[in-house]
Amino acid sequence: MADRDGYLAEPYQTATQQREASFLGMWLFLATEIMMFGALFLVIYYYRLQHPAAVSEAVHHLHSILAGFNSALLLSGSLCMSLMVQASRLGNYRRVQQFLLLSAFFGLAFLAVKFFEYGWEYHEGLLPGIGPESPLKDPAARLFMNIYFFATALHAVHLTIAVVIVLGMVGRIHFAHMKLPERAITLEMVGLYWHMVDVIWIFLYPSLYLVGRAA
Amino acid sequence: MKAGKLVLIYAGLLALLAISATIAIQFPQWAMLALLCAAGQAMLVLFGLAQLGSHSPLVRFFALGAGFWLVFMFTLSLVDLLTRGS
Repeated sequence: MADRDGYLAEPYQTATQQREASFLGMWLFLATEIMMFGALFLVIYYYRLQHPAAVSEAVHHLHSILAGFNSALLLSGSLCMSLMVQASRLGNYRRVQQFLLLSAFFGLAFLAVKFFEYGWEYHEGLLPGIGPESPLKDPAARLFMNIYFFATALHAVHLTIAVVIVLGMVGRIHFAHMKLPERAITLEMVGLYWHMVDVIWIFLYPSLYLVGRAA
Repeated sequence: MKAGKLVLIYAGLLALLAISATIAIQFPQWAMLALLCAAGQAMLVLFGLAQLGSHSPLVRFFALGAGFWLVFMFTLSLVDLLTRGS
């Protein structure tokens, strides 16, 4: 890491100061994301307490095994991100590119499975406002499906952004548009964003698919 | 952190995922335990994969600050709901 410590941007006097400022800024941004999804989680649990029977009916129709497989894909992407950060600290940028590509692959696989799941739900009439007649008779159960769709789609948008950023990093490193090791801190910030998207899904999975299933 | 340790954390994450899905599908009355598993997974990602513990106390304060305000928001909202008369 010594050669990285030699790079200092304008207002900073030490590499440690610069590194800490980067992490503070990134975590502040991630905190705003966590607060946004936090409000969504509050809606999910408030609604669950208000309409337990309707939510149970809706949850019964969701594909929990498929979503569990998706969780495993996202966790695999997170492992690759950590290995990528470790490789960047060692200055092994070929390995960095490989792990970035692997992470992007797991992210794209997650999105593919998610859209397959949406297609399945469309044919079952579970998606809000479109497709065949819903098998859910209770309007409260149909409203839970709206919450489900909004929450998972918002997460998918975040994951798409993460995949685009990761692929952008691969391209920038490949075409030498990214100064390394000077800008290696950027790779660590991308890793943090990916982990945040992962943590949000870790809570979305039980909140939408698992809790409240009918016995 | 060594690669072996990261892989071990990954194995722990997958194990918690399998436990939460099995409990929720086989024993739906205990499905709330899946949330405990999720909390464990989140801790493993934050302190294992994202290595939050290796940062300065100020960075950790920033990272965990959002969690504090979420607990505040959940507590106030759910206390209102749960203590409301029928």
